[in-house]
Amino acid sequence: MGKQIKRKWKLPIGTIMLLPTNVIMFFLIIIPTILVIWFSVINFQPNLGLNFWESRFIFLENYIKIFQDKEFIYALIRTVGISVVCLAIEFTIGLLIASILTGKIFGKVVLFPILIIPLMIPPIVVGNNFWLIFSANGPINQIISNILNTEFTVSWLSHPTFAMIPIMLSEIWHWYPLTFLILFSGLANVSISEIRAAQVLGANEWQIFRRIKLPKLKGIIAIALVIRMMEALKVFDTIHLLTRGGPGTNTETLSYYLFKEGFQYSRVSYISAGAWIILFVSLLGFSFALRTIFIKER
Amino acid sequence: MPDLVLKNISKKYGNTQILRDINLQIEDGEFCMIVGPSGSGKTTLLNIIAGFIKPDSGEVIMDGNILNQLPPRDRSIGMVFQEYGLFSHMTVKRNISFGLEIKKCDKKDIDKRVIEITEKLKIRKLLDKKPGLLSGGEAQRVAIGRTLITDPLFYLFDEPLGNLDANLRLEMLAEIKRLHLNLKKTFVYVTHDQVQALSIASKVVIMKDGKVLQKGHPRDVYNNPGNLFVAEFFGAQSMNLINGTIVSEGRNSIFSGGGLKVELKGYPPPEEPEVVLGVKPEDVIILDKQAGNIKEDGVGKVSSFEFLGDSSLIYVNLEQEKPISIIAAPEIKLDSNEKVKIKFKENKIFLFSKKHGGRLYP
Repeated sequence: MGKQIKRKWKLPIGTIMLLPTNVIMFFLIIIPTILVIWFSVINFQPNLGLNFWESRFIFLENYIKIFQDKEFIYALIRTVGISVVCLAIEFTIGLLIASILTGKIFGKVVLFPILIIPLMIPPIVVGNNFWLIFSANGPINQIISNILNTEFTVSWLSHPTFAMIPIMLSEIWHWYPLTFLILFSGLANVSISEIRAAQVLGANEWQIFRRIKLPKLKGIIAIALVIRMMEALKVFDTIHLLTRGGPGTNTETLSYYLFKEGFQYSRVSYISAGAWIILFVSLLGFSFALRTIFIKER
Repeated sequence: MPDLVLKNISKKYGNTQILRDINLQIEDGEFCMIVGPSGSGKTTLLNIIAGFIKPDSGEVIMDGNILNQLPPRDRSIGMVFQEYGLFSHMTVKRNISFGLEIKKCDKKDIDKRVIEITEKLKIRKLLDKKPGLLSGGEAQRVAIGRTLITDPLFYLFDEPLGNLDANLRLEMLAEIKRLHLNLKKTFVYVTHDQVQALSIASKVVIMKDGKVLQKGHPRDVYNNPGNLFVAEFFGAQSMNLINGTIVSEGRNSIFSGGGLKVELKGYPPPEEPEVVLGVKPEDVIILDKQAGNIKEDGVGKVSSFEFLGDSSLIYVNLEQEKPISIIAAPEIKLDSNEKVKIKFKENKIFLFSKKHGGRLYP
């Protein structure tokens, strides 16, 4: 056996290979993050004609102002509301379909891909389709008219409260396959002998689900929740396509509010503060959801 | 009397016939072991008894009632699985109490039963552990305790000791036997390990390729194998099997093959001369040098000699491929390569057909 040759200096191949990525990430994440912190404590508005290094330092004024802004607070409530309602419905549908499909079902091979088709459709197509379906003389109104046998012409998308329905429906339709897929993989992994043991001990289907399968899904549900929450918090495309936040500001969510304030009114400093608040709030939410998993690990 | 009857059970998966027309009656309180090599359909049969699998045809009758349509939870069975099947997210205590908890029994009664059972199985100190922290033996005790709590009429075991090491296996086997004596319930036990069956079953069912080859008390099956497969498969030391031909000589027949010539008195030769002769290792005698007047069946060389304490296991090479194994008294001492004369006990010789494996003699 030859002796191992000891080099004084070893080529740090790992570091060298990661360098390009790290440089790109530095410019894409670190610098913008620092800039956003800076922007949030100055008064920078490009349309005022001042560059950001010339703008006045105002410390926490943006944060105070944004919390006094009713539109922001309403957008926050609306976002949380949409997320909670959509997630609840998506999980119910996802869990239901997943438990049906883990059993013996005729035509599973065909049903499975059909059920996850929505995931593969780009948001812009989903938005446009729902816009067509819910437009004043679209199929939904047609069907309701036929059932009621009278002319039914609610313009869903410009109704101050009903406008939320198409938005939420499109979100649910678009994203239930994700929860379904995740929960399906969880359910499929519950060991057959545990289920059989429970059956022999006299448990019925509901008891097996409630006491064996569901507790085992805890971790996977938390993960699905986090993934879906991230999507739900940044809901934008459907709203932009369906209502543009309207009528008025009745369907504005956080991301839409920030888009409007930032890119239409050029209040860059103001939305930087808003972005930090959202980041902070969502971090709180995620760490809470993930706690269930990490407590289990210990 | 709650007995268990299987009538004409058949099962097919795709094009493979797993079970072919199984008929079986297991009496109340019997310890029935279903033995067979893997792929013989024994686990499928057990799953049909439990109700996890529906047979294509035939009936499962328990205590006089046809159960085919009854789901497992209504069958009054307890089942122990090879991979334990413990609920990994529950403590041992909740695992054991599960069967009563879902029936919404009184909490005090449940606690009392749990303590009673855990004392009996010596797992009292494990109550607050999760199954992931248990050893194989402990896990299997918990699995047994979990079935005990609902007090079923029938206990089904699906290779319960398959995941345990050899020493633990013997210990658990004795435990299960003791359990059977105490409970006096019907046990159906599936295993591929025929030594287990030999030692504790009150009935063995030998299966191969989805068919029951032989059933009965292990002693009868051992002493009286019905065909070539059972002869080779059943028993701690498998039977010596020698290929050969048979010819008639007056009123007797003579078997010759593998360097042996064995006279079978009063046996007319069968139609097919190609046969397999079988003799158990303990039924082969090594002839003393002094006993000159007894005619030997063959002469061979000792290829190996193992002293086992209460007996010796001797292998003797004849002309055939496999040496003949002999279990002899411990007093006999032989050297390797020593020439010995061997003789088979006359009434312990079996003849099987080479073509279909059926028994021809006696």
